[in-house]
Amino acid sequence: MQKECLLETRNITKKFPGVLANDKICIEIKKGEIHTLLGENGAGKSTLMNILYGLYQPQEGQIFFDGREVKIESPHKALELGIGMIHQHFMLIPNLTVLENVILGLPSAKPPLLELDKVRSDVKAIFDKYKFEVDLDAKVRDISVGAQQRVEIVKALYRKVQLLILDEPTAVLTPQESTELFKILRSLKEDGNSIIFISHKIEEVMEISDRITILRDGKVVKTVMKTETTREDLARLMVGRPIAMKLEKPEAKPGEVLLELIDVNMIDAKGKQLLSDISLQVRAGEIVGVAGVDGNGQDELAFALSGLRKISSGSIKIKGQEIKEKNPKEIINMGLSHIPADRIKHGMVKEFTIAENLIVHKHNQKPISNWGVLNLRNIAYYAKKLISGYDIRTPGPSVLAANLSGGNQQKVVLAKEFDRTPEILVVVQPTRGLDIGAREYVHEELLRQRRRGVAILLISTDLEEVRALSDRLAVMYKGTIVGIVDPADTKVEKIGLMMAGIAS
Amino acid sequence: MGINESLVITWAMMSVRMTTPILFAALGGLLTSRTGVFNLALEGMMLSGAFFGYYGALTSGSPWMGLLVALLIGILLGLLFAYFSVTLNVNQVITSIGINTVALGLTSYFSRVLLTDSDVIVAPTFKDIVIPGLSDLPIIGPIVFSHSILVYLSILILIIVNWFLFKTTNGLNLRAIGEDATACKTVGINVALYRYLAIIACGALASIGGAYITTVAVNRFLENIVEGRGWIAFAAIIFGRNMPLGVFGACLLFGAATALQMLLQVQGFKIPYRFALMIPYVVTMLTIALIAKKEQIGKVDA
Amino acid sequence: MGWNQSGYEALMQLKDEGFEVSYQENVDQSQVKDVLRNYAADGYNLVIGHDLFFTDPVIEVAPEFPDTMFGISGGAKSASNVASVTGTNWESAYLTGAFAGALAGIYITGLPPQLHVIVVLLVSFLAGALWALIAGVLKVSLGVSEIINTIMLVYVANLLVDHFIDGPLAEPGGVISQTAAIADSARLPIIVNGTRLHFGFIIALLITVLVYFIIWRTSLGYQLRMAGLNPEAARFAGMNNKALVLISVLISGGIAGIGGSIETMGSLYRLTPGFSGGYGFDAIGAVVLGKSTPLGLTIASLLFSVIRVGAGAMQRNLGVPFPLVNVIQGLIIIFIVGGSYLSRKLEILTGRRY
Repeated sequence: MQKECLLETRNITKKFPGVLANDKICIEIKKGEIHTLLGENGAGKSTLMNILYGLYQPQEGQIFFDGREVKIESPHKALELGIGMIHQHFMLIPNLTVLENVILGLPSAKPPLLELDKVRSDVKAIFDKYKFEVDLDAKVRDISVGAQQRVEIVKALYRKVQLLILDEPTAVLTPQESTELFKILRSLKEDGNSIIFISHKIEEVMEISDRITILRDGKVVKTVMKTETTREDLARLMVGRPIAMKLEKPEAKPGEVLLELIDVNMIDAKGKQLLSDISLQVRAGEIVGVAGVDGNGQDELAFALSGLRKISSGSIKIKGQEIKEKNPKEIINMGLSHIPADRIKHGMVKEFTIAENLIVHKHNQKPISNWGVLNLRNIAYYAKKLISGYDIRTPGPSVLAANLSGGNQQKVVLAKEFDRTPEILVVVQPTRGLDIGAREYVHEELLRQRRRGVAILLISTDLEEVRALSDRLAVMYKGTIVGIVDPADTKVEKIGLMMAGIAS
Repeated sequence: MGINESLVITWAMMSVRMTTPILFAALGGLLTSRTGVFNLALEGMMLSGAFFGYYGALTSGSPWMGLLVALLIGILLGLLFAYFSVTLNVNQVITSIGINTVALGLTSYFSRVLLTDSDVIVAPTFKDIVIPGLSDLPIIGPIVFSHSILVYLSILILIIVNWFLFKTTNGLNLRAIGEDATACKTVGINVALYRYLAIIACGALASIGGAYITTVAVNRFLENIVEGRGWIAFAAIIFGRNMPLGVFGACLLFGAATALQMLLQVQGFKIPYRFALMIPYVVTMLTIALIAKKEQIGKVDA
Repeated sequence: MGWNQSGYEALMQLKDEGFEVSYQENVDQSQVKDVLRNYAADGYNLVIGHDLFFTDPVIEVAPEFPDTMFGISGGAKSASNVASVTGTNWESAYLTGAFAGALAGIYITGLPPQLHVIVVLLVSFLAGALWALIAGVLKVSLGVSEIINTIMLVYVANLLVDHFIDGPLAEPGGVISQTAAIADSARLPIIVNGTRLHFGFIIALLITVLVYFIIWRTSLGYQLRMAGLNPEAARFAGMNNKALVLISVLISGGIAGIGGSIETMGSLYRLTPGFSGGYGFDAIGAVVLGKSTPLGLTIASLLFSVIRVGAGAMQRNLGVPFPLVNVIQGLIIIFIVGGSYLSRKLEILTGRRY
């Protein structure tokens, strides 16, 4: 059946300083289809969607909606046309109720007064139609991530959108919540709505899409029907070369226990249990992975280990020594290194030069400084050594860290931490936002540290990553470890259920 | 009637009057802070209102004219602040420093240039309204029903601000902007427009607050006459936790501290007058330290 | 007597006495009745006071070094960026530093000149640092924003210092309220004969160099910069941010204190109520303009000094009132800073550099 076209872009081009984010993009979205944009980070998916939603203006190109050429100069205009977008980070106001969030920005039935009764019955009707529900009077900050996403969907439907754009909607969901979401999306499609689904996960793309457009380096590579393609094809189109799905990983030779957690609990000031009864051991020369959906206590765990947050009870031991009362500096000096999830916010100073970032653990030691006075020549020498040792691509050590690519920034972080020859590594989301090449580099570096006999705790929401690298895999749900499995012979489905707190 | 009793009533009455200028400015500042803009130029805006309100009243012979002039100046300063902080996206602290410095210089300059040759420097003021019956009530009468029109206006604006923020769609939008402006843009709210209007309203209100000082409290202008009230108003917004009634309470407290300072001087208590003058500033510091301490309990050691 | 009337009378009494007092804190209390007539003249006196050190455009920049001083203290503070708005701390640290320095200059006697000068500098450094520490400690221990506190402290410091100048420490037998003059041994020598350029200028330059060195060439400066630019990353790297904030507050407050006492030792020789003239506030503007680098600060400070000098000359020769200084400085801040934002915005919009 040949369906009618709802939206078409012709030669959309968007340049940012130094980057060609979208290069003559042409796509066609039909009425009543789920159309996936597949591509790696930086392929230009989000830029294109932000153009369709009126957040960016393209330098060239035309957009046709429902047969007419349109200029989408603001989100307001997009919504008027019937285009809604659900961002990766939800655009909800945490301190307002669900209902208030639904009507935010809309005119009232009896201006200027707030009018909520009619809205309430309209929203209830939407719930009935698509068979899902959210508590309308709860504050958004109190409901689960899955429920917040449903609020975003209701928000769009209440505004009568015909085209819904979802930017990596499953990134924050458990596999089971994703299944829920897909059900809702399919019933939206049945109703004649169009959906643009943005993702870089091939599995789910094959599950939900009707058609798939692959983007790479800001260009459209190809548009294919789901029924006429395979996972391998998609992977090849996406990265432009066949990718090795398996890492070379020698057998682990675990040594003594370097890091040990016994019944660790963390309770915040409001009495919320952030970590409960966590017990875990990491031995020299092994990688223990921690899997879980974002926000299930992984950050708190990493912070507790590096002394950035105090635990309420239990015990954390490094080489048999209690660190509960120690401050971050003391813990660092005991041989623990923390590669933080947010490398720009926590791992470096982007206004500093590469050299300045590299000396962060050595600034008060000889030969970097003498009697508190920095030795600039030695600093430059040291920086050059690390730059070549860790393959940091830069013209020189005095380049600002902000001017490096994400991959090279991560190399700076790894270099300054690894050069301390730590005995314990707490690594969080080490490849988030990196391209394939940099990702491989980071993985190899971690394996190298493992060979060196470092005890590594790898916390990541990227299930593929933790499964590939870990020798043992702990699954976290709501601040507790629901189980520790051998990643080599445990099915993804089983891990998924554990992540959702259903299995253990 | 006992002397102490009448003293307390006088204090209460003075407190209400000293609260008014702070309340005007704080309500304005509350509106901007609800849109996520921190207006540290309240002091400069009040000072401008104080001078131009006074000068308008002096030259026209009517305090109403003074109020109108102050209102226009406030709107103008609001526009300036909004242009720099919203349109040009200049750091709000820097913009505030600039405006405060200019206001201090300009009002002092004008007061020397425009007022030196003038024999008449006492401007007409707003008179207290006597409400037959009510004003004669014991205790309540002097405290509540014997003030100038501006005192009642400030309460009216308090009620309007509260109603606007929590009962109207625009109020909802405004509150949402302060929490997450990007989210508001995605649902089509014109964030810049809201901020402009809030800042302009803030300029107008702060300016009227300043004009109150010269057209009600004293009938003349002196250099730097606002003496930190703009900053105290900002403290009141923090202390009142961004809620209109909370801000009102905080303003009352600071107004009472100012009134106490004045009473101590008049009653000839044996403390040096400069120490009495310190009271409002010290009270302000203590209260914001207190609220910080309270919030600390609910804070993680992040 | 009715309630209303007693209230009204109390109010009238306040209007007649209390209010003027509160608004004219710099004027001796005995003059209260004359306040109305005097207040314009009071401003005039202030201008004359300034005029004393604005005798000759060529030599005038130098005595105005307090601006430079503040620029430097701003450098210590804002180059570390630990809390760049703490600028308002300097005004009160300047006051307390000047005050303590003057006390040491007046009441410590019998020291050889070099030693006496050093003692005065140390005392004023300590006083400025300790005063600045009030807001610093409040921020670090309770998390109180320093913006309001430092402003409140300016008013408190002003009142406190004026109280002492006017009362307990007033010159015995003096007619106008001022302290006794500092001992000859505590006065800074003039370094160019026939001018008012005194040794304080050299001290200012030395401190500039020292601050530059600390910030860019030492491990301490490295930590201050890191904690200022990205406190979270500093915490992750094991640094103690709270200690770093306090250190920077101490240094900048102390230097501001020295700035205050140099002014006394080099040109005023005694304190009079309201002696500050707002140098500390100028410093904030200088920091903003100088973009937080010591060199930029020095240049911006000189610029502001020149404006002050020029305003003094304009007042003298053309009768243009002195507060115009503030107007010009404020406009410069707004337009230069606003202008640079504008050009950056244009750059982003058009992809071209302006």
